[in-house]
Amino acid sequence: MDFRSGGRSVTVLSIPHLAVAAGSSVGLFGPSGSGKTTLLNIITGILTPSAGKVSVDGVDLGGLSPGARDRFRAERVGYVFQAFNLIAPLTALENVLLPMGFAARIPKRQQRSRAQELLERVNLGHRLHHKPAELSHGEQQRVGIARALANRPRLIIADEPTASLEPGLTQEIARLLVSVCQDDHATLLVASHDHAVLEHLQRVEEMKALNIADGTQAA
Amino acid sequence: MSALLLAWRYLRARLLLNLLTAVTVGFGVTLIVAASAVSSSTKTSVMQSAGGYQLLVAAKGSPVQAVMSSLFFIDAPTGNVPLELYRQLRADKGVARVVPLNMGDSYRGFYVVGTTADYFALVADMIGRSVRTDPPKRVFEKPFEAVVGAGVARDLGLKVGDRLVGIHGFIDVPADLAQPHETFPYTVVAVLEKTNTPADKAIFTTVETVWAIHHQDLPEGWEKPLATAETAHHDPGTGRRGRASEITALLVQGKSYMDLLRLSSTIGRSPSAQAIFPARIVTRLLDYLKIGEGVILGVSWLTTVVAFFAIMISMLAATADRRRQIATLRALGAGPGLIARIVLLEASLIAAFGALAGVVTGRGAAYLLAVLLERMSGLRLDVRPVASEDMLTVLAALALGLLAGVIPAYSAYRQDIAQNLSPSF
Repeated sequence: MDFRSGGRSVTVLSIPHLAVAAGSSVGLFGPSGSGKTTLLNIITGILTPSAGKVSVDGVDLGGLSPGARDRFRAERVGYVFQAFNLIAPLTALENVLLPMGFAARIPKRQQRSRAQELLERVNLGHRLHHKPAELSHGEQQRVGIARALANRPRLIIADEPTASLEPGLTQEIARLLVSVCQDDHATLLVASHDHAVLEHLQRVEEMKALNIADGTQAA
Repeated sequence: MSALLLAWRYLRARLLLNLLTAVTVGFGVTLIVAASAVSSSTKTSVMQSAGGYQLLVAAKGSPVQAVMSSLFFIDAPTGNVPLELYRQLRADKGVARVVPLNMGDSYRGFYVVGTTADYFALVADMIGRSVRTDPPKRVFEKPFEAVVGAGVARDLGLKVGDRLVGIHGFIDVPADLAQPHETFPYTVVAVLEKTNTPADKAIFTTVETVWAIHHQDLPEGWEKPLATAETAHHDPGTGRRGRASEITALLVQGKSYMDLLRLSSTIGRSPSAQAIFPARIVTRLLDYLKIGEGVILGVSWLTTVVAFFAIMISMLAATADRRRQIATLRALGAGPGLIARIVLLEASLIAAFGALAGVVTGRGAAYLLAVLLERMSGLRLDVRPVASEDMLTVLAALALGLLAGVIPAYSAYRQDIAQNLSPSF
């Protein structure tokens, strides 16, 4: 799989092969700029590779229209962000409810109770109606994890999930992330340069070994 | 979670800015609604009032001034017409009714009008029923008896049995400048019901009373001489100026339109009088008012255009501020159409709230203007609490909001997810 950055004809990511088993947890390790986030964006269909094939849960992303890629993300992928990326005017509960509105996986009647249950699983049952600004960083990321699980996705993507947290919270959040993914039989793919996170995962891939692109002009 | 709920939450998150933007919309809508409401009800009310009088005979001069003074009691008369004309018109077979108006004095800013009971018959024609009085069926019967309009009674607290002293002229001047007719007090004998016509803002007495106050003897052959006792009581007998030979104006109702045309043509040849069709003058006057109305509406639409850009700029700023959040929504599976819908809904909601507030304040402003005009002229403007055109105004504002949201929505639709998700962004 190749990816050219923007309109330029420079290949910034070239991965001959990467397979992740369903239900496993895999870490992508590498320094900033090594292509971790780009790879995650390609896997989620946010970016389209310029060559090669990306298949997630049996779906060839290259064959999907932009609208189908949006639906694919809504139904099969959960996203945990480095900067939490909670929707500021919504409460914790509403943030978890939000992706359920983008996919038709959870029946409407069950959405509220599921969101509540997810927040209780991440120990935020007492913070349902708080807005992100009223939550600590650790709490915000726990809401982010609950949100990622909302639609019972087959794949959870976490991009530097602990990079914005205080050092003391790294282990706690990493453990939580791995445990909820295991509970939900979801595949977990984590991009991180933090060994404290990666040590919780079953397998770690080094971007340096995966990415053979040398930044030269593509043909 | 629906796009509407998200749009609503985003609106609340920037409450002050969105309120200010809505106020801009509301200001334009207020002007449009108030100007339209006052304009249309003024036309209706003025035309109704003027339409009750078929022909006005007044002294030569400005026809507008003649109409304003004789019909609406809000300007000085153009002068007097020969009393002989009154006699001629009464004798004319084509005249159904002729009502004399004898003016010259006022009381605390309200006209004192010398007339006959026929004036109330004209008002009754206008309102479609007989004019009620308190006490019932009581009008002036003797000189120096006064019947006061409902507005005058309300504003001055006048009631039956009160005595009042008029002053010469039509302006409510300071006491030291006024020329009061202290020896000629009127006695209020009745209060008219509220008619929503200029009659509400005047004090009525007999024609003869006005002559008596101005030291004039009754015209020769006048069929309704002043009672000797009354005259003796009120008139100190000094400064008499001879017999009355003029009257301020005459309101004429013809038996047919042809009769009115004939009378108008005949009177038009007189060197001292003019015949005016009030409806024509009022129509012309309303045409002049249209210019002012056009200016107000122009300013209103200009304000609305400013509001349009205010919404657009506000929404563009919002989508720029929200790039990370929009990218997050997209990453969570929201389609670009949903993002655009949220922005369009926000813009429309701002416009809708502004428009609704504008309709309420516009109607309120129109109502206040109507009250003010009624107090000034007695004309009642029928300003309805809500009108069908208000719904159109709100819909137009909604369309405006939608239109103003198109560019910001497109900008949100096109945002680069990957770039905006980057923590370094």
